Amino acid sequence: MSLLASVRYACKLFFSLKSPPDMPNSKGTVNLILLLHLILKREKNGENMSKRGITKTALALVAVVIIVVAVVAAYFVITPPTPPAPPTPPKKVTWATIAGFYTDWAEAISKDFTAKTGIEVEVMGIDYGVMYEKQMLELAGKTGAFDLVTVETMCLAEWAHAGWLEPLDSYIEKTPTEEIQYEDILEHYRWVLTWGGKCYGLPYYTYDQGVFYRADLFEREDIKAMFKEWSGGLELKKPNHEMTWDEALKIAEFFDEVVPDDIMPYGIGLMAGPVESNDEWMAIMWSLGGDHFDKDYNIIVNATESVRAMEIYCELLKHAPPGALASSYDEVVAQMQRGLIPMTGPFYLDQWPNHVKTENLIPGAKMACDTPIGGRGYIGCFALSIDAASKSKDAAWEFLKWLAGPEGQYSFAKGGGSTCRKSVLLHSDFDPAVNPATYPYTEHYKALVATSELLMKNAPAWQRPYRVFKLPKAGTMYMESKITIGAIAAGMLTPKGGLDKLALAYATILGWGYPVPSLSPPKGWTPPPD
Amino acid sequence: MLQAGSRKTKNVVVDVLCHFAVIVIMVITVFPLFWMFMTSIKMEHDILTLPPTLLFEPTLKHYYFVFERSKFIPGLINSLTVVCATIAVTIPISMLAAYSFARFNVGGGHLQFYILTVRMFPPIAAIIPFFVIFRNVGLLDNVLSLVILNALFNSPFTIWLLYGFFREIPLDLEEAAMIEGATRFGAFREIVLPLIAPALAVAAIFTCLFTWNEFLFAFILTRSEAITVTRVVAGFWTERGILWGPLSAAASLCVVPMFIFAMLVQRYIVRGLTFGAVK
Amino acid sequence: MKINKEKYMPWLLVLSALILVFGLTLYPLFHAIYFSARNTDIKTGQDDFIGLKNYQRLLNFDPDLADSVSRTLMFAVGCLSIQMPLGLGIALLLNREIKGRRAFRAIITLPLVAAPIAIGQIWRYMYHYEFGVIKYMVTLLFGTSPNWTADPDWALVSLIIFDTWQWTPFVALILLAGLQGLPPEPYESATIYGASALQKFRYITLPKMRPLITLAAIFRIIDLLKTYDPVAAITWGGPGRATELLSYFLYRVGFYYFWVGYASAISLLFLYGVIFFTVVALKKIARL
Repeated sequence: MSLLASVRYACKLFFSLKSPPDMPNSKGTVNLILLLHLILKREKNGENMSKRGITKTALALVAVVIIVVAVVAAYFVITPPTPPAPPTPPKKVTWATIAGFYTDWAEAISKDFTAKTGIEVEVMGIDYGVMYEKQMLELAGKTGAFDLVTVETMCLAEWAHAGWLEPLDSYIEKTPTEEIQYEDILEHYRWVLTWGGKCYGLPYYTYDQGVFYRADLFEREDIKAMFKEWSGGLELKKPNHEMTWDEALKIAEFFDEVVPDDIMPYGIGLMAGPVESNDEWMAIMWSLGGDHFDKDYNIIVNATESVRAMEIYCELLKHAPPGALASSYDEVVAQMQRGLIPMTGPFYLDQWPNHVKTENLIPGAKMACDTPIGGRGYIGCFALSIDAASKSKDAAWEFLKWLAGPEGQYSFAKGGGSTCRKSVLLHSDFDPAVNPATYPYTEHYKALVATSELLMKNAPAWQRPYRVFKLPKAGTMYMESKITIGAIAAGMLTPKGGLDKLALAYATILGWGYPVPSLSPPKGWTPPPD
Repeated sequence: MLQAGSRKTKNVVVDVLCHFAVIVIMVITVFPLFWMFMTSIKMEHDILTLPPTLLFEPTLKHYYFVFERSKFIPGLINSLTVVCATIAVTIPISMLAAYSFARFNVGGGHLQFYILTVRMFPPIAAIIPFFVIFRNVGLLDNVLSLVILNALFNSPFTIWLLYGFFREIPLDLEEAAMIEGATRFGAFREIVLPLIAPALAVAAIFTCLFTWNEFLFAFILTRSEAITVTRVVAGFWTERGILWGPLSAAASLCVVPMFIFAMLVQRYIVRGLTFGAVK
Repeated sequence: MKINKEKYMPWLLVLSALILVFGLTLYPLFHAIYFSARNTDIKTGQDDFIGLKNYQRLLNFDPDLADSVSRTLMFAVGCLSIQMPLGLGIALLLNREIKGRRAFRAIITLPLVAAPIAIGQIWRYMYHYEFGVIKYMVTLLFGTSPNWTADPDWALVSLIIFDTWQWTPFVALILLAGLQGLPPEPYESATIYGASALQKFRYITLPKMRPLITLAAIFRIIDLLKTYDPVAAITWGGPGRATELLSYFLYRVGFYYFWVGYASAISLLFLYGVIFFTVVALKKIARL
């Protein structure tokens, strides 16, 4: 039957509904069928199959609507699957990135890019919580769906090693220096985005860790006097890289217990939720001199320094607001804005534009940010990489070099972003001393530069800055540590026990000694290239 | 006399208690939905406050945000398309299969059991093979893949539902028609189909509900072309933090169509859950 | 000719359903069996045959999986023990001649039709340790309140409460059908003999409803064991691992670590477990 005839027939059928002939009174007619021929019969009092109370028109209308819509939908649905890419390079680039404000800005400036080069850019915002999996799925499946992917520092080695990313050296060489200015990018980013001697990504957005605090509270004479008296003579120092974590713990305790609650109820804000707790713990561990691996790549994540770092973290948690265990970075910002915390833990410097709003919300508040306590924090940035399976790599490179280049980064900074280029960070346009209007957006730039210099100076050569970033399995280990650290923070594991477990998990992930994991690399295991 | 009096009092007390319980249950049931609507029209500073505010200045800006900044309208269109196409695919297939199982007992129960086990399988475990299949066929990010998967996972329920209804119809009716010269197909068309029409409606309604609310497949198998409404709702975790206002607005928009739909066809839903038992 | 047609027609009718079901389920099944015997790492391209080692690991060395399974069972038992009595109670209420019964029944269906992922996000907001309206109201009533999703001891309870809110109506409606199908004669004779309401309930209603109650319980258990959306919407498995139910554990193993082999082994055992349980339970009903 043709489609039209079927529709006509169906309409006729439903419009001609009439009460069925008198059905014999089927007692026990309610059947709940269990597909192993178990039928439950229940005695029902004479329910017949008439359509009492259901108007035919209503039924007919619903049926007609469904059929019509189904026909229309079927027309749209039966589109053939996408044909293979045509031989001429398409002028469209798909860019997967984190959803949100900066992505909205990015869409706006991509239009400038399109006007300039004629290449269309489709910006696909993915929510932060699932960005890793979603991109990995497409990369592993070699679908080529995202020409440009946003890579986090911990994952670059993993994805480069798997061959999912396109090495960028040849592109960089082909590009004139003024356009790309590779050396302008801060050194530690260049280091972390290189793998096996090849560069795989260019950063466009950084979230290195520093510290945020309420400068007004740290400058108040009465609070300083209280601290001096309580601590037996110590001065209340402002948090920066010269402070140690033990000192920070003392300050947190002070603000939590000694300072009256109407001034400051808690001592520190922590992101102890399932998403970021490991970033904070790692910063503390690194500043104590510990690391995931030692010089010979033995796993030392459960060594003394790491355990001490975890203990400090758990102590700090006692002085944090009660929701810390479910908190992510936006929660901590909200806590600061509500005047609940005087300072953060190791916190992402890019959040300055959010933190600075505290000054508007709390009278007299003055925000400040500085290099991380203990001198070392997580290196974080979003880098743009080209998918190795992409079908428009040249076009993708055009966009990449534009966005990560000095021009793109300048306008990124103008839009309030945290750039990775030294020239932009130190540019007078973004110096609040010179241009006060930029204070809510770029005050943290100085801290970013200082942090970068610290990172490359403070570490012994073999650790510079953190060698764990070079392991291909780093991404997986990072994910695993998220959960274990979160569990320790929640009190479900002890610091030592939890870290022992994490060490074993690392060994399992790396495949060292299966089925009983070993904490040392097996014989013949070669360390990853730099 | 005394006995009647005290029984009457007791009845009154029980009655009052029952009414009270009903009210409490209704309030608890509706409260989260009520809160969702409230949050979607609050300004940001009213959302994150303590104590939670009941009186505030309403605003529609979160709805504007959802419509302008997120891909809600494409999501809506995709969801509608997927739902309608899934119904169009599932109902005929299930109807034929259920008829066959009810009348001929094809496969002797084993086939039916296999189909039922599809429902027991955790979808998360099947997702990677499906991803691979659809990638090889080139159907990723296409509503067709969602339609196929939803049809697959809804079939057990609809087949089973229709099977129950088919069994209620005695064989004599069809046989009477066939004796009078109609073909089996004709008998089916003239006699059985009208009887089964409400059951089909019930099956369609449930398919519609489950497909609209489906999240996992939409999340894994779509990127930008074929995202559905549920995927849009889950996408409000940004670098600025979780946007509660737009999130509530999107959730409201996702849930409201189903509410209206459910209110209209409420009798059918109840019937479907109870296989026609409730008058 | 007619005989042939009669013989093959049933199969013809089922054909479309068979194509759909078999076509789409056989590949995942084989994929799962194939990969469960291998140690595949998509990222390094490693792909060796390791036989039963995945299963070995499953049963012997993996405390996380054991924790996840026990947590899922605890969740299922917790939900069931609340939803069944509550559902029965609501069904009894609905069965009475109360004013506004229709409205009550209509409103009760609302939680069922709300997408778990959407309404789950709202519950996450309601459970917020500071702004959450649930915490606020509990504090009003009891003076103190746990931190719900931020407290490892209470996180699973938060999920149980959410699931109860959403699915008790389902149980209630099924049981209502059963109640409405009960014949009135036993009750009338019981009244004549002077039985109290409680006795009637215990000796007449409950035994007759038992098969239906068990059936509702089976539906619920199958769905409870598969729970995924609430975890993804409300707690992300946290704090720590406190709410990592089996489906979410599978998600982590399969999508964060991409350990396809191990995930396949777990899913196969998961499937067999549920099937086995259902068959056993259904056989028990048959005997009733």
